[in-house]
Amino acid sequence: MQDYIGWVPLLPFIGFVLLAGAALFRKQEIPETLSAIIGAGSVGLAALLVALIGREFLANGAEPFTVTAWQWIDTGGLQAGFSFYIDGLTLVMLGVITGVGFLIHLYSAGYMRGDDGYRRYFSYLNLFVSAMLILVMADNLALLYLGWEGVGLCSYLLIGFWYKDAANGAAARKAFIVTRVGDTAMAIGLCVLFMHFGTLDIQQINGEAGAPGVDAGIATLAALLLLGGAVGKSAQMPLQTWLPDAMAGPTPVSALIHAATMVTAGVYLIARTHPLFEASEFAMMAVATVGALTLFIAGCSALVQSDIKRILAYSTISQIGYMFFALGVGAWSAGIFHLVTHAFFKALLFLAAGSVILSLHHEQDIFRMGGLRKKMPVTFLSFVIGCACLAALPFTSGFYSKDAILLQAWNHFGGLHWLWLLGTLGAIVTGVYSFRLLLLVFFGKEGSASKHCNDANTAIMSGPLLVLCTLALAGGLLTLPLAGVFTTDPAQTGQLVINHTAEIIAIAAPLIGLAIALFAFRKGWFAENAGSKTWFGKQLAPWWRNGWGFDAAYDALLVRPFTGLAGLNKSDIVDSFYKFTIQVSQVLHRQLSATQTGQLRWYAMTMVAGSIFILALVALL
Amino acid sequence: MNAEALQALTPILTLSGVIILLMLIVAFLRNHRLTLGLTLLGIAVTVWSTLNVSPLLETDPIAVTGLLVVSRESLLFYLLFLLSAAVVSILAFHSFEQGTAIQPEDSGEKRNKGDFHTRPTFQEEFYLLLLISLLGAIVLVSASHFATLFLGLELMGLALYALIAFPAIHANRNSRSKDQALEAGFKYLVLSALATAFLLFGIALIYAQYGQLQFAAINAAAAAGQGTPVLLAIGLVLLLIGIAFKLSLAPFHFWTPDVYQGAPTPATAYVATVSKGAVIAITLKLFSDIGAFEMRAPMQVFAVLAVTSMLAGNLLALQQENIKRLLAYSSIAHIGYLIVAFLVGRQEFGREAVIYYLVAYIVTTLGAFAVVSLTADYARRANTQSSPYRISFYKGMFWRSPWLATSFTMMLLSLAGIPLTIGFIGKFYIFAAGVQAGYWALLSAVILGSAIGLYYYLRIIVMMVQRPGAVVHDDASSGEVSPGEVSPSAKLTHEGVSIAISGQMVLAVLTVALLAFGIFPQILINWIQ
Amino acid sequence: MVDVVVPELWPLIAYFLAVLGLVVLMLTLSHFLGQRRRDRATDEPYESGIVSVGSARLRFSIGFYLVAILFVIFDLEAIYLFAWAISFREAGMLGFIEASIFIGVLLVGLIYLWRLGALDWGGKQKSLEQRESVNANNGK
Repeated sequence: MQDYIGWVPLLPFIGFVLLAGAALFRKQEIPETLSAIIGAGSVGLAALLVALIGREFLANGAEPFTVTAWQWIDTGGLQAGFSFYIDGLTLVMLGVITGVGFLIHLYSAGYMRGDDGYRRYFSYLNLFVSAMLILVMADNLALLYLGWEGVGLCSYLLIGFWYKDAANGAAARKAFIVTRVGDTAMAIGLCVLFMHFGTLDIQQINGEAGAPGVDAGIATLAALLLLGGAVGKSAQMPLQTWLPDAMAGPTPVSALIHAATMVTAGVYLIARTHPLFEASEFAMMAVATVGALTLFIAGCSALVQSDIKRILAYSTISQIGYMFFALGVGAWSAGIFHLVTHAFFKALLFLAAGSVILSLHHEQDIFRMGGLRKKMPVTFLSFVIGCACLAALPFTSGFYSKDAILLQAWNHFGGLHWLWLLGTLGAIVTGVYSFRLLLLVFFGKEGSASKHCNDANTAIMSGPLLVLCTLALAGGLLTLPLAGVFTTDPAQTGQLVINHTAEIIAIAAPLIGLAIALFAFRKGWFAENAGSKTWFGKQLAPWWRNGWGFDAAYDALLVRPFTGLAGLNKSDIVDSFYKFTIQVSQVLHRQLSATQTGQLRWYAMTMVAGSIFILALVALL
Repeated sequence: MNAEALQALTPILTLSGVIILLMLIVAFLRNHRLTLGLTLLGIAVTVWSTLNVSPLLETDPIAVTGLLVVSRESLLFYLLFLLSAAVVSILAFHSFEQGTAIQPEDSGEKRNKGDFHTRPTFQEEFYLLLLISLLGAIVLVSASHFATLFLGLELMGLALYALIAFPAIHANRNSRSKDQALEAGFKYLVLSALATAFLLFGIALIYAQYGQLQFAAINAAAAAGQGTPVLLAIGLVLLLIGIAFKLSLAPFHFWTPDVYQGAPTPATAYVATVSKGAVIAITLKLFSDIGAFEMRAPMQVFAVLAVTSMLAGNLLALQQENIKRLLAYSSIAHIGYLIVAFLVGRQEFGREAVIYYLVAYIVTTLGAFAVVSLTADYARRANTQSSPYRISFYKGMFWRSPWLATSFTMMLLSLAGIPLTIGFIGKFYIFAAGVQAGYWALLSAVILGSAIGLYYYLRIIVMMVQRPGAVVHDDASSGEVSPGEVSPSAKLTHEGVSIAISGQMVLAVLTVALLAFGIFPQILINWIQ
Repeated sequence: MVDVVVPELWPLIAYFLAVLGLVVLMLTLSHFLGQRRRDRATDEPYESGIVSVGSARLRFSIGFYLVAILFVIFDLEAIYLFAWAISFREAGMLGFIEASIFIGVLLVGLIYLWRLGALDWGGKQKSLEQRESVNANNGK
């Protein structure tokens, strides 16, 4: 079975080729059902294959293996090809991508029905899944980078999916350019690694970085550069600004790409190269700091948003912050565990939000919603479970993972530490904003948009929602096969000390958040204009709402000076270089063309002249 | 001559037999379809006998009477040329059926349909000449003696003159295209004779030095002596000039565009692929057999010719409007690239690079000319106004005939060396070979040339995907409908380029080969190794 | 090679330059010193004082060429056979087979030429055409 692993990314790719190539086969658009079958079916088959391989993998004692999926060239000392490295971590990612991906594909089949770009939508989505699978399966960083760029491209295409609205195009460009900053750092990081280790093979680098006596300076530099890439892709500080805008795409896209899978690629990258990070104290601290700051800042922003998708977007940033925080404190498996549970409940929340939006005829303002719990029972159920998981209420999946993170952070810092405090505060904030969202949308009195609500959930949409509900609830009971991957993680080596103070605080934090939310809702503090006179409403809330002013700062500091400079330099010196090239080519072309006289005499003469020239050359050299 | 040697000779003997048989049949029974069938059958039988010889050569090449050496490598070339000739003959069949081979280009000339049928067109002889030229190519690549080399080269060349000037046979006196073909044939004949003079003089000088004509004997004599004698060096350089003409390396390239344009397209395809391929193959063999890779003079000359060809070819193609001339210029550049790998031919990797690039070049060029030829056939049948050889004819092709355009796009991308096509692997090989040898100046010329090349290949692709808003060619039969009024969907059904099944199959096979060897190059590499 | 050639080369170059200089000198001198006259008869061809008549471009029938070339081809082949005839015994059976193949190929060529009408004066096509046109005229 394991030899067929190459088919896992290939199946969605075939789906993409079929869907994209459909224009070649037929003059008219192919039926929507066929698009959906190809799109969802290929991912479904991949998921099935992953499940089968996973069973065999576990039965074999979770032994990592490498499969050469495609040997491209092997000659003259050069070998190029695709090799996939599969271990517990990869398998977990594969399961999440294909499993959650399949559910979201199914949901999309219902959600996107009637859209002009139905086929285009599924072809992008399949390409995305394929690229994401390559990203996690790659055995060397170059291939990983290919997948990395592939998902970036698909993200761009899908954010700007409704390209007729210029704002969507702008959002897509913003996402692409901001992540590009990170990608550049990562590319430099790859170069540093290659220069130092002479290879891009992940296992070799890990082996050498993990060995004693590795140059700490190089490790720090490379790790920080990789962190730059991860920060861009995972929307962490200071490159988090693109994710809220990325909500311009169709909601299932937000669920799959901007919540469940792609944005966690940064987490995966750091986890994949963890020996490199472990070799550098400073890099670890940087990861933890980035994570803790992001989770708090994004949580506060989520608290004051009014757009349902933006709330979820900020909550995604915040939750990925938790994952980074976990990685930074060496709680590798807890971070990955949170990645998995987050994928379940955030996909659930986004899909449920999609149902709300569709049912309310594309209304996204939560202040116009309210009282929907009777009208949309399935969605309501989904939201309750999703918010409970997000807030990490006890015995939901989010609880197990977030609890583990905070506990290990406490152990890592050996007691109270400001980063741990930020994490705990963040947990309270998470509780507040998730229940604020739930209460405002489903309870209280009906908003202006709720009156026109008709439940848009069809069977193909409710099905995935219910499956995800189950996963989100029960996901905490999973045991991930990560023991062989993270050998330094105390949670895997059985050296985890459980500190009861920290444990109790971690359990209490979301409950406190819930209590605050209920109290505030009762008091009416969540209403649209409540507290606008206070200092909080005047100063802090707008600042938080705009994502702590990062956008404005970047706009003033980078974008405006850059466009200004570009404007000044419109007809710049570089252009003249290209124009010069064109002119030289054209002149040479004309000169040479003039020699093609078509006259035999001239041709014969040039031959003789050429021969004399060559003989002279030989004589002189 | 023992039995083993005789068996090693079977492909050549089979092909000769086929030619004589076909000549007899043609003498008594003129039937176009039958002739094509027999030609393909003959090629198939020769392929079969070639494959039969292959097991004999597991260990060593077999020398036949000191004139010929049959090795596994030469068998690979046999197969390559035989298959190319099969493609060319299929293209020729369609060209003759539509009359494009008789009148490659008639711009606005009034055509009388009766013309083609009352007057004999001798189209059967085209296949006969093709096979003779093929025989020459096959003899050439297995030569191990200057006499055989010359014999093969001339056999190939003589048949080619007639193939190029073929439309001249057609009795329509005042046709411009007839003059063009005749002109092309004559240019090739005269210049070729000049080149052959150089070649022969070179051989004579080498003979004067050592008194030997056999490659191995010359090598032995050269190895016994000290350094490179002046006569040998000059002789090789003169020989090389003759070869450079056949390969149309600048500055011996002047004939190329005129001949490519004037000849019937299938003949052009043949000149561009088999004729050049055979010369490359024998040059590789000659150089390694007589140890010319170790000599400075011929290598330096080759290096200079490579650079001039790459630059001149690409620059000349830059704004070319005629697709056949464009492909002619691009072929000049491509042989230039190939020579870069050739310079490393001493090493096993260099040989591999040369052969791989040659295969890539032949597959791609055949494909491109197949598209051009079949499109021209269609244009003749549909009686279009504009010349099918102008690249503007391809405007909007993608929307009219997506498959044809896709296939052509593949060919062009392969010529430009874009990944996942066979052309990319070929170019990659050249780079790898050049880097190994440290030819940085040459490689920078390759890069510069490729960059210029991208422009004109992409220009055609861009032209093909342009929406057919400004209609370049409109159906003359439905002249009353002005182009602007035709709705896009109506255009799709009306103006798609329709191609006969066998032509489609040729294109499909070539495109698949191009992609397959681009995605899984290992298959071909293993064959070569 | 360079070291060997260059010292021997320079007298050659000097000689070449001297020749070039002399030719240029002679042409320039004659250009300036010689007299030039343009008369009615200046451009006429000189044929021992006899005034030339008619065009120099005569058209022969292609038939002559065809016969000549066929003669040359088959005559030349006879030379090879002559060589074989002298060494008939030494060449033995193998030589006999090879010569037979050679003659066979020649024969096929001859048959082909005959069918093509190359042996008819003026070519088969011409005669066919004439016959057809006669028939057409008769039909009228």
